[in-house]
Amino acid sequence: MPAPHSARPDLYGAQPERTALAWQRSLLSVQLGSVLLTLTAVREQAWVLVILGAALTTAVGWWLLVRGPARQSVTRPRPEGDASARPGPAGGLLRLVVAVSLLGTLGVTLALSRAFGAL
Amino acid sequence: MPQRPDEPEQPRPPARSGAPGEPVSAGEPVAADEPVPATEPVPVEDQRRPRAVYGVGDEPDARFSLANERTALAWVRTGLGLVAGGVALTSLATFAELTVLLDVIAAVACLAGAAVAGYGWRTWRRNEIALRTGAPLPAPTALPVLAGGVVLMALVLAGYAVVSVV
Repeated sequence: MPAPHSARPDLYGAQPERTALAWQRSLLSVQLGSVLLTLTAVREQAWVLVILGAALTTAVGWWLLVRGPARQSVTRPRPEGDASARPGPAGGLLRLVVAVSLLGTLGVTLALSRAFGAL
Repeated sequence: MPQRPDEPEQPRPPARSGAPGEPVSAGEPVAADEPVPATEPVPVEDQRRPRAVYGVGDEPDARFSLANERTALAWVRTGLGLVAGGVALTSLATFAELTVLLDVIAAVACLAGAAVAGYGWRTWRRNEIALRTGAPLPAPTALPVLAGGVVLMALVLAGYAVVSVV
């Protein structure tokens, strides 16, 4: 089986495997962060944050397991005459930024709620 | 294409846009004397979003696009590190019943992390547009701010640790 970097001779050095690993690292980091937040929210008995954190963990886990390998398709050999451009990363990047921002917002809510005794 | 001198004279297949060596499909009526116009490749409409990025310039080398993608992911992970640090600080403050100051620092770290992730998205857009248009790559303006912020946060936490011990 050819390695991902050699699947298309015109893309030598494109390092799609490295890009796919970068995506996996990023998603795994979001998931670890959301697990940490969920556990802290359980300890604080902030049930709304628990639900949101668990939902984020589940969504990122699904993305990691189901959608993650799709990035490898960037350099798969395409049929002759298929001139379609490679899929852009914009949608995935935007979703990732939204996930990180959501995690940050939940973290701020947890920290400030604890600081000012709202929980 | 000029015929090589060592090749025997043969009737030429019609000009087409397919790959060389691909068999010509049967059923295409070609008159022997009639010149066949060369078919141009049909341009495929680019469906990718955002149009502000993919609607300008030309398709760059895939290696540069993938490198830009990885750089944006590195920015997002940096932001995520700040958010995770903030959440961890809150967790620590929760379990060890530490002061409110740590919660405030945690909140600032989480906000900064979200901002850095947003910057990652912005820098990906700007770099991709620059790659497509051949313009110089924009400078990473947030890098000194990020470095200064991390150093400041480290100093505040170190000061807190020193004061707590003494």
